[in-house]
Amino acid sequence: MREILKPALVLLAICAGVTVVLALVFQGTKPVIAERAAADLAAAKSEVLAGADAFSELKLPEGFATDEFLQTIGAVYLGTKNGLYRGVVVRALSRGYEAAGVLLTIGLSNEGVVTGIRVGDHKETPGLGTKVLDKAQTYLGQYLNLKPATNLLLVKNKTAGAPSHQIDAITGATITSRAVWRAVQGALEISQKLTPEGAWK
Amino acid sequence: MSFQPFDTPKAWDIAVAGLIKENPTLKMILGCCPTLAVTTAVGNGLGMGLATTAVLMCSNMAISLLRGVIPEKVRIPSYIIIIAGFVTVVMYVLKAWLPELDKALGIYIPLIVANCILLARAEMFAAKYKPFPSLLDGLFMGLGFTLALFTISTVREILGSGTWFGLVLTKNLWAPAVLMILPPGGFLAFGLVITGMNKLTNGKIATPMCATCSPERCAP
Amino acid sequence: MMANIVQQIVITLLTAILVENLVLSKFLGMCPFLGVTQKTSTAAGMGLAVTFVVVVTAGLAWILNYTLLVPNHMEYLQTMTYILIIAALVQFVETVVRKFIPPLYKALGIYLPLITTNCAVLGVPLLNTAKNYDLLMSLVYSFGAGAGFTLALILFSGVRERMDKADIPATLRGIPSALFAATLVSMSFFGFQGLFAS
Repeated sequence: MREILKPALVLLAICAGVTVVLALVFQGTKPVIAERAAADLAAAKSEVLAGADAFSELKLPEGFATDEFLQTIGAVYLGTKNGLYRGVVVRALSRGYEAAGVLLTIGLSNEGVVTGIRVGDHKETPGLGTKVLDKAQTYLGQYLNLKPATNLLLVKNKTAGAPSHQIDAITGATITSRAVWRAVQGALEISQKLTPEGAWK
Repeated sequence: MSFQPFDTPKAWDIAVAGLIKENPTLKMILGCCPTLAVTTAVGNGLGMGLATTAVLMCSNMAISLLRGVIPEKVRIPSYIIIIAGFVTVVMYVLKAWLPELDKALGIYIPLIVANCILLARAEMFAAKYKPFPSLLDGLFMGLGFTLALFTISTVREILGSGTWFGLVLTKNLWAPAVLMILPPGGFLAFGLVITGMNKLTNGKIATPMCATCSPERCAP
Repeated sequence: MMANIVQQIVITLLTAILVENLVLSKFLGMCPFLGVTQKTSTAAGMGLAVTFVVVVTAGLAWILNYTLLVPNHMEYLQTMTYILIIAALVQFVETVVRKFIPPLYKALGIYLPLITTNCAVLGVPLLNTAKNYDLLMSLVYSFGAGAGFTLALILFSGVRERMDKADIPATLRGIPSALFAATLVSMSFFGFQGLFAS
């Protein structure tokens, strides 16, 4: 009996010791991690909706995600400046080439114009999918200052002079292009469901 | 390591063994999972290598301090718990102060626990020798591992992205071979670096311990 | 409803086996991949043992995680808990197999302790947690992951057995040539990446 007891107790003691140390480390790093996440979100919001300086989260009603576009939406924030409603910031997670999805922060003014897109975490294919998400490339710019009359349409090899609601996908990276398209379309649909004062219709 | 027990090796020998002669990744083929997974960029490779070195130093020292207390029967589970503890500490430290590295390395950080190097050094060194030499062994084996990661990720980043450590080198001159930063490129780069290492040290590879984590339990 | 679940199961399985193959895409389980694939029979044995351990671990890990760790905000104990489950399970399996199925123990015996430090076996519950799978999908994914692992090992051991008979220069013999072969096998699997374009 003794020969099982001592090893088991030692093992238990080590487990307990490690657990205590980990609990302390966790408590110690928790505030730093939370602060970072908050700072990152605040920076994203300010970047995509420059006209606002205060944000409050909008509680989305149950079952609001009625189509595949709205399903990408994670959170919606109303932006105000001097108490006046200036627009909305939408956080979306859209499935791309990688199952983990692309995190996007999209800003829309109170008139429904796309004011900014910020790309967050993603693991898209380097050289292909990343071409879509790179700010220096042309893809994302197609969405800026866009106020489409109808739903956005993703096309390949867009003809010159075609209407602006048609988005030209990047050759060889259609899946990642679709991911962004779905998220922005979702954001537009959300903004259509809000009144000019920023309340849910 | 082929030292006689109770004959504590000198610091120089520990260093040479860890970095070159018994380099854990390039000679003993240990710790292959992160070697292939995170070497897409030099920054990631270095980060992983240094994180692992930190864990290795701490776990070696802790295990060496407890070597008189841990009974033979529960030796392996005890080592694993201690290693898992330090890995979790490193994980949260990275999340708090180096979040970009944490996101880049992803699940490979908790997977440091399954990195054979840690258990192998615990069994083969820390369990037998005093804390300070164990700390050194952890340091140099970790640095040897980091060296391997650094070399492989240099090859992959330069050929696959045209950059090195983020500095643009050939990216704007010609299209890089993207294959190198995709999974097949990992195998290729690893094979090339081991071949190079073999050529340089003029010896055949030491018995790969990969599948066994210790020489006594060599698989056929 | 039923059709939807079946469709999800099939997609998860195929993703685990082909698109995100543990060995050839995620580089988990590299050690046995390089160390145990000299013969197809040993590769198959290792694959099956790993599949069994992975599925049972995934189930236990999920239960412990969502009944104990998450409600008490102790997610920081996940890594330690998962590896302890694996160590205990492997020990248990080894004891049971040795006692009740001696011929099986003889065939698999030495590979069982190696499973504890196998990246793939720890990686699967970590992936399940990261992907927020429910219990059913965790088990399905784990089974697929194990099957994919076994597939990769068997394929690769076939390649290596052929390579053994070839005349290879000294510096390339053993691990380097195995890695170059693995490059090609990995490239062939890379073609599965776009399988579920939505």
